Amino acid sequence: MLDLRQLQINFQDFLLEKKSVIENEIVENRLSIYHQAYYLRLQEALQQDFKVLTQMLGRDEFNQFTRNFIVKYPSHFRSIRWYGKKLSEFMGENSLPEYLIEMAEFEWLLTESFDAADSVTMTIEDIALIPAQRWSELTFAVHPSLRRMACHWNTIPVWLSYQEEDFSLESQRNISTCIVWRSQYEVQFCALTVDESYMLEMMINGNNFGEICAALCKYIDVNEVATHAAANLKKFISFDLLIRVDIK
Amino acid sequence: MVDTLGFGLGLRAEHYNAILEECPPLDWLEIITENYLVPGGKPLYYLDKIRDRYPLVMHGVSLSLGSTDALDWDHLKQVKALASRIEPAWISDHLCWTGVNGINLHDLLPLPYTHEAINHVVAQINQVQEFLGRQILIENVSSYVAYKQSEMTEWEFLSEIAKRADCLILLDVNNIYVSSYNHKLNPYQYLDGIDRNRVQQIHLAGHSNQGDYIIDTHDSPVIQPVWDLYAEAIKRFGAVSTMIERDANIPDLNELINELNHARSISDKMLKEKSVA
Repeated sequence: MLDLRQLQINFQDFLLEKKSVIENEIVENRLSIYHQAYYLRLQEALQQDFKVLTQMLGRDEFNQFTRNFIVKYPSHFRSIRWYGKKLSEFMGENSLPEYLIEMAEFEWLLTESFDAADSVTMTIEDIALIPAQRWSELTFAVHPSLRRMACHWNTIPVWLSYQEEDFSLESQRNISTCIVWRSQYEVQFCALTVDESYMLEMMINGNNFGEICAALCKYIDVNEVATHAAANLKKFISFDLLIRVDIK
Repeated sequence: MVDTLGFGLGLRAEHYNAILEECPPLDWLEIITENYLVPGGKPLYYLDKIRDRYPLVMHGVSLSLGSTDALDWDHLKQVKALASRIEPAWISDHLCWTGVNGINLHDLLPLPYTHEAINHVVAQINQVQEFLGRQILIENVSSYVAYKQSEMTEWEFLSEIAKRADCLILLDVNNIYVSSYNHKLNPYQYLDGIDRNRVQQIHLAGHSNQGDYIIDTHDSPVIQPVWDLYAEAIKRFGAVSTMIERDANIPDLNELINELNHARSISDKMLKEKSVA
């Protein structure tokens, strides 16, 4: 008689489509129910997390592709919610078109932002209290749900058109920085301009407002840079991207 | 044992707003533990709001008590932290295994009913209960295969583990029906074999009948033979906290409340008959 561990290894090997002799241990052979359920459950979870990708590929092709993913990457997560983490990486390994990989990355960021940590966001009033002469020393903390992504395709417009059940918009090259975050418990996203993206990156890296203004001079006229950076800052605050300001 | 909480439903995201806006007549709600082991966002926002209005119990799907892997202490720490946050009336998980060698198959896989498995699961439950500082409930799962090496019935296996680990039982009446159908057993004999003093909670659910076997799908209303079995369970075990699970084809909340009210009426009737007798 097999010990419990070997029995479980054999059962698992059967589900993972490895060589297994579990059939010898079973009275009623309905192992196929477990086998089908294993793939179906993970595929359904992936369909939920990658709704537009599923539509772009077509459900049959998505299921075929994700079946290969499931075989290669069994879940090590306690919650099925995290299972799709490596899907875009697997798409890259299998040379799927870049615009599909980018859509997978974008949809995964939506799921990451959805239940990322909470934080109280800062307001315009918070910053209005700081004397103007101290502004150059300001540093900022961003919301824990913020995710950034370098886009090389029109991924956001395509994603939005699929929400409207308009499947006519084709993927095209378009370079931008996209951000995903949560405001009032709702996931938001948008593309940033080059200077906004640069400024946000410097904020995340801990640079102060003075350093940011100096660096932005490569995009903005030196006489306008402070005003422009302040306008960007106001926009970030109104978007609920920032949670704290410190004076360094 | 905690006194009966009455009649509850499984909390599903589809019903968050209806529950908060309508404050429906539910005695309690059961959450799937793993759905709330996240850093923040909407799931925890709604959970806290709903906890302000209803008692909650936590129901896990991945403790993997029967796995021969070591317990996942990181996961258990998260479970304990969530329990501190929402103070559930109790915490349950399944009498099953979900994977080995670090893999999670995300299914509730049956154990062989052997003394070796009993020894193993009892030791696991002891560790979990010690860590959480409370008794847990273990639930019988639906099964589609049986192992040649089993040395006893499922109900003997469940009862022996509950007794030796001094834990409580979440009796899934639908799962008893499903497994009894699949393995050609008498579900009433199953009920006979369960210690009434350990049954803390009952699950009811629908399933999918494929002819020569049944799959536990939780996607349809409870069927009459399961209601009949539930009536018998109440007759034997007395008033037990009861809830309906629906995980697919999730209907309007009122439809589930009507179904729950049917459970309530069956329970009332059986308890009345019992008191007269």
